[in-house]
Amino acid sequence: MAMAVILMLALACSSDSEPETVSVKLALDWYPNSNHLGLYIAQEKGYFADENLEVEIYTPVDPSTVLQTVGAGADDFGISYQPDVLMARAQGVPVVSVAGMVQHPLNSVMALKSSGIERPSDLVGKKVGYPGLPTDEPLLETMLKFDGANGLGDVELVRVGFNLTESLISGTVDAVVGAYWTHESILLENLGQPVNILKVQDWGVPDYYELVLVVSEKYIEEHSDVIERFTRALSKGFADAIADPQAGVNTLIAASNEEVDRAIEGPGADLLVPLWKTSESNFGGQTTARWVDFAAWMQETGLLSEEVDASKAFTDKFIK
Amino acid sequence: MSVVKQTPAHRTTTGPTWGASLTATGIRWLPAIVIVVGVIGFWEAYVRIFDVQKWLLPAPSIIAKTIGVDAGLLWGHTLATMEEIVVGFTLALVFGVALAAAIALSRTVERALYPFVIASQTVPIIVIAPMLLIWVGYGLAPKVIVVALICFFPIVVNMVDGLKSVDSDVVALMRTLGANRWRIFLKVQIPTSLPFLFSGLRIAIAFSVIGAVIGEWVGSSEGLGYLMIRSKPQFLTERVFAAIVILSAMGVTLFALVGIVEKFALPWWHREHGSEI
Repeated sequence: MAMAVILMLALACSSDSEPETVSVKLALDWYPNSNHLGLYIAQEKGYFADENLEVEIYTPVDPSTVLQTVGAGADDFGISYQPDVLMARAQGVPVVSVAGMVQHPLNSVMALKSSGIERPSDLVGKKVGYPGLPTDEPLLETMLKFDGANGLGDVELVRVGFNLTESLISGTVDAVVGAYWTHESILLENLGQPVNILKVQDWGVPDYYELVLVVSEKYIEEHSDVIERFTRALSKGFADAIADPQAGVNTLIAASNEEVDRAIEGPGADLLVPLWKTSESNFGGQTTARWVDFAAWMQETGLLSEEVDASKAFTDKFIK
Repeated sequence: MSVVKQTPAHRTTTGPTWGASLTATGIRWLPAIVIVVGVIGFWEAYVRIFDVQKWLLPAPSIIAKTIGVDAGLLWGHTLATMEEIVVGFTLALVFGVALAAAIALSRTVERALYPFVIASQTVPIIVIAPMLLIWVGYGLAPKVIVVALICFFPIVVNMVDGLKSVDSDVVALMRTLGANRWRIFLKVQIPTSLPFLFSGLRIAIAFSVIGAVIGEWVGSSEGLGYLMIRSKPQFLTERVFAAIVILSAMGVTLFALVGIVEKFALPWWHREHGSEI
């Protein structure tokens, strides 16, 4: 790292054409995990440094504030979720997605294998735990209706906060919604509790980007060169992660001071590889159709009360 | 009951007439009113002058409007939070007073339990609360327990201090008159402790509001804490503030209510000391 800084400084001094070193701050959506492999690779392997970027990555105390801190300019970059970006824009928060980091939903309904729950209609009359985020209820409702049930009235919803896995194991609930099929499922398997996974996109929910890289409208106006450099380095990081996810996990573990559990992030990274690639581009591509269709679903389910121009919620001009 | 005699230093004259009392009340609250109006005025002006977006910091006028528009929604959640507070506080009161009495009556109980009462306050509620959900389920119970845990401590500590603060001369006199341990407890210790108990209750009731919100924060389907947790990810900052305003109003009202109950319950104390609320 120190070497990289010295090298960077040397480069900055030797050449006039080199852009000035810029310090940027990035707020994570959650504690460092396999979703962030490309980011940590770019940081550790010096891809950001190559672009004369000094990136500070941090996990906010309350990750639900990422869009507000980015919108207000306190953070330059943030990692958030497509539904949240649309809800934020509906309330006037000026944030824009510049890359689709994870190309498909990770959210799912999960139940212990022993429960016999294999499809949404099996949930009728059962207790379903959810973290309390506004998006989980409409996701579940769409899945239930898609599989022939009437809707949320058919299940008993229990807000379990962040105790998704605990409440499943303890039997307080029969199933949970809001669990990642690249994280909670692995955690449960490792505890000897194999689960059935119902992916939201398999049961009637329009495809969306689980994680997106966001900046503010103002930042795009004033620093589009920084965004371009940042996404270029990030793409390189994710290309490495796709090529060798387990090496990426090693990088992540080293970067996070061993706080990351390899038993969870290792298998998680393997599952994520196909979600980092797109058919159109290597990493981060976004399409208007995805944004517009998903916004229409959000409006239909009442998640968005205001009219939102979804095509303005993202830009693909930074992804090559 | 009039056995209790405190120092007459603060003795005031008999109460003024009602009209004069109202005016006096007005003057007494004038500084608070000036501060509230001043802060709200500054806040409103700041937001308007610097054009602060409402998702960042909503103006007081927008918050007031939200309370009006969302009145039905807010009311439902207010009732849920109120229920948690009332049940939790009552539990803390019953168990707190009983435990304080046991501690004051028996040295053994004091030595055995008092350290645990103090230790109970070092338990980080925010960590225990999510576990409570797993242990006792997701209904009213975990919120009530959190409220009770928070309210319990000031009630016990104050009541114990009160029970122990008796005038030894009075106890000696009672003994001479042939009173037994139990009679002294009922006729001397209990009345002496009541003003202390009420001090504890005022602290407890103010904390109870926070307790209910913590309980709801980690897992609930209703209540003002739940409403805030739902509104925040939807960037409805004005609704979060509306809930905060209602919680504050609730806290102040409950605090005042304890004061009023105290006034009626301990008329002798207020005759001698005068009172603010």
